[in-house]
Amino acid sequence: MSQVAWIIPAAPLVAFLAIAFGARRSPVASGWLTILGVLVATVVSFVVLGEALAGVRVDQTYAWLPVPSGPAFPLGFQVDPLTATMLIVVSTVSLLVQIYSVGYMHGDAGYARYFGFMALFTMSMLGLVLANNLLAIYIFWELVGLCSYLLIGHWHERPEAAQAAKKAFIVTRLGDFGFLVGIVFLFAQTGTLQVSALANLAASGGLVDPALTVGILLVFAGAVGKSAQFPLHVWLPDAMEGPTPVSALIHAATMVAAGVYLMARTFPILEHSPTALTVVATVGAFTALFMATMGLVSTDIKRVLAYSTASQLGYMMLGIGAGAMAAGMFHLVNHAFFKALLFLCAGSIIHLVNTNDLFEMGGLRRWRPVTFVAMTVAALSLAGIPPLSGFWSKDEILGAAAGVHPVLYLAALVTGFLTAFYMFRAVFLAFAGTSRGDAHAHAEPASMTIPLLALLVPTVVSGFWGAPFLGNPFGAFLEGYGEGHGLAATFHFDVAALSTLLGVGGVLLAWAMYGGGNLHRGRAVAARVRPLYEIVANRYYVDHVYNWVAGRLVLGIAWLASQFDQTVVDGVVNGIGTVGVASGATLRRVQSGQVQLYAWVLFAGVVAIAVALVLPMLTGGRV
Amino acid sequence: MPSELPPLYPIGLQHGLVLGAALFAVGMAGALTKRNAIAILMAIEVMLNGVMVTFVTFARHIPGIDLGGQIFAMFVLTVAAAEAAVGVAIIITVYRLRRTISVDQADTLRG
Amino acid sequence: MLIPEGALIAVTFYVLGVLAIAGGVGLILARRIFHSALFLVLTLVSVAGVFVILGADFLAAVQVLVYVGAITVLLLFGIMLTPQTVQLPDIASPGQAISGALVAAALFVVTVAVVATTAWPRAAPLPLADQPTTNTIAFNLFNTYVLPFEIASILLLVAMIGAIVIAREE
Repeated sequence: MSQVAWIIPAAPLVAFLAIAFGARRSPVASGWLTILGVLVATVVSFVVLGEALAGVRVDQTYAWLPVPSGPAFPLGFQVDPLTATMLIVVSTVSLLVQIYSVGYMHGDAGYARYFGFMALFTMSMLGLVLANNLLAIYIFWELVGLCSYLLIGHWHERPEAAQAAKKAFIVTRLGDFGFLVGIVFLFAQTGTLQVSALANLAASGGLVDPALTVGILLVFAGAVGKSAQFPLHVWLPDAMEGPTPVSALIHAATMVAAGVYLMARTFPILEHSPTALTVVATVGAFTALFMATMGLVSTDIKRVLAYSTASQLGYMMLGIGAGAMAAGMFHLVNHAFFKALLFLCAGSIIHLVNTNDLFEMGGLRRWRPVTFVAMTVAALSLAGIPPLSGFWSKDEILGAAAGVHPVLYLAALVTGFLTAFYMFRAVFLAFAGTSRGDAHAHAEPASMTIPLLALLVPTVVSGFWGAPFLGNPFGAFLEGYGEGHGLAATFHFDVAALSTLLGVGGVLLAWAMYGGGNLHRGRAVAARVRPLYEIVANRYYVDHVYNWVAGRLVLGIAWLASQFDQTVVDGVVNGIGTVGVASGATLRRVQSGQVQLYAWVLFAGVVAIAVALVLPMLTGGRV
Repeated sequence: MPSELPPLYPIGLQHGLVLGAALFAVGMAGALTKRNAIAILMAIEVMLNGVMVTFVTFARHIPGIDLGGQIFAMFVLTVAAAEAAVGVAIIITVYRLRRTISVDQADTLRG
Repeated sequence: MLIPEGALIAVTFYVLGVLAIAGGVGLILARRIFHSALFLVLTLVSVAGVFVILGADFLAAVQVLVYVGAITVLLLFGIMLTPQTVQLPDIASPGQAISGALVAAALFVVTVAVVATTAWPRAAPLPLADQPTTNTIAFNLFNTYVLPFEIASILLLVAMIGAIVIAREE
């Protein structure tokens, strides 16, 4: 089955094409087509994972753009542990989100369009993880970006949604540009874009510093944009304007994780550049802490989750940058499941109360007990409470960070504490106490409840795949990709104990402040540190700075360009026009209608030509 | 026609050519200066006659062309006849439409 | 004979040439279109004479028949059908007259310069045959030049039909 792994992205692509060319007239059919396509992809993905676990490795390359006497641009796919793992994550989460969407998006005007784009996204994301060269990765990379844009702007009649879609597209594009330059740069240096070939070159000394570091850091720029790492993190919170299942699939589980996946995929190159590793780890750790602080003050449940997502992606980057690629990927897998579950839970309660504002919720456990349980378990997992999945992967990353630099370790520990706090702040605000809004009971469709329960399973158990006391099968599975220092992370009891204590502490602090479901304790704390609170609540004014820069710089350049256009370009164009008109006005006098004048000009021309021909003849003998 | 050339036979090739050129130039001057369209047609006939004289002169002096010059002159004459017929027809039509055959008043094409 | 035959021929040639040019000049200078037509006839007949001297007897006959007989008559018909009501000086404005004459003179000078400087293959004329040229012309016309001949006939037909169509009253 691995030999034909291209079936995996092909199935949702067929669904997308079917919806685009006809089925969209029937929303119900569109929904089922997408679910069917993703189901096929999921089944095949599991088969492929089984084969990969049994040791099957495939690397197929097909000629795509053969340039005569020039470089060839092949397309191809590979099946290896990394790909097989990602296939499972993407297809499973996508399948559950599609099922959830049937209930969540019921009655939406753009229902068929929504499912069409979801199918297209799933295809692109699966293609991205299957692709075995950077060019193909880049193509799918842009496709997922496009789908993200389309789906954030699903409710495009809302100005905020349209604005957020544009912001997401433009900000990630900044990183994508770096990625593209990196691809071109690496190609110019090595003549190949096959990841395996680049890895071999990096290992054998065919690709050395500074080209190696420059190339991989440019690729990392793409990952920074896609994975909402500082300083390109600003788009992710706004992207929450999209439908919640979209946030769950694209902006929590898969697309934003593509940046982490890309760094894992290129890890055999990355690991040969200590500078790049340091940069990746530092950016990751800083983003993790930075975004976690913003999560503390947000009152929008989806934004809390978005900050958390960026923060956790920073964690993964930290793991990869610390050399523990397997730890980063392991956290990616676990995070995909529990974060998707958190988003689907958030969607469930938003569906109930019709607001994103945590301050208007409260007491929701009465109406949504299943959601309450699921969200609590997922939040515990995110907080790193054993034995849930988040604990195992977070511990691996912490262990790796501790081995690299104490500052990184400290940042990661603090982040863990803050994460536990803000997650349970959200949980308590939503579910504890009594209702502060106007929640009224209406039943939730089964299509929304079942995915929650289904996602609970990996949230609880997926951590055991990499559990040290089971011999870390996940680490062993990925072993051999890259030279693998730090791959087989050992269990550090002290690290685990400390992080668990901090996690529990965060939960308890949240309970102390918000456990009763009232807000005044939190407000009192906020009032005491008002200036700090303001800075964080305004997201460190990063957006303001960007807007100011965009406003001054971009508008300034635009003004210059406009002036240039109006004076120089228009001047030239109008000048040409004026010359034409003026010469026409002059020349029209020649067209007098006087035939004899025409004849005169004709004969004068004959004389001129004759003189020109004869003169050399006459003087030729003498000169 | 004398069958043998007198020793002082003076009419060289150049003489005929200069006569042809002179007729052509005179005709051109007429075609460029006259106003009456029929007069212009006449001047053009003079130009064509200059050309014919040139052809016939060549036929007389260049060996190996087997009177080709004269035959060309006949074609010129044929074309001249056609030109005169069409020219006069056009002039008559113009006169009928505009009541004049003065070419400097037939300037409908003025730009 | 006091005067040698060659000299007589030469004098005849020059006299006819001068008459032909004079006819052209008269055509230009004549105030009345009818006088212009008479000067044209003078030129055409003189050229016919020149043809005779140059050994083109058949062509001379055709010249008289077609030009003097047909084309001139055609032009006279044109004169008659377009009443010359206003008798203005027929020469255009002085500027046009001078510039036209200048161009004509320039072309003449250039042509003469070419004629004078070209190294012609031989200066003496070819010997003339005793019999008229009619036979040779006819032979060549229907052998070497049969295609141009046929095209010329089509041209005449087209011109004839065209002239009728153009000049016909609506």
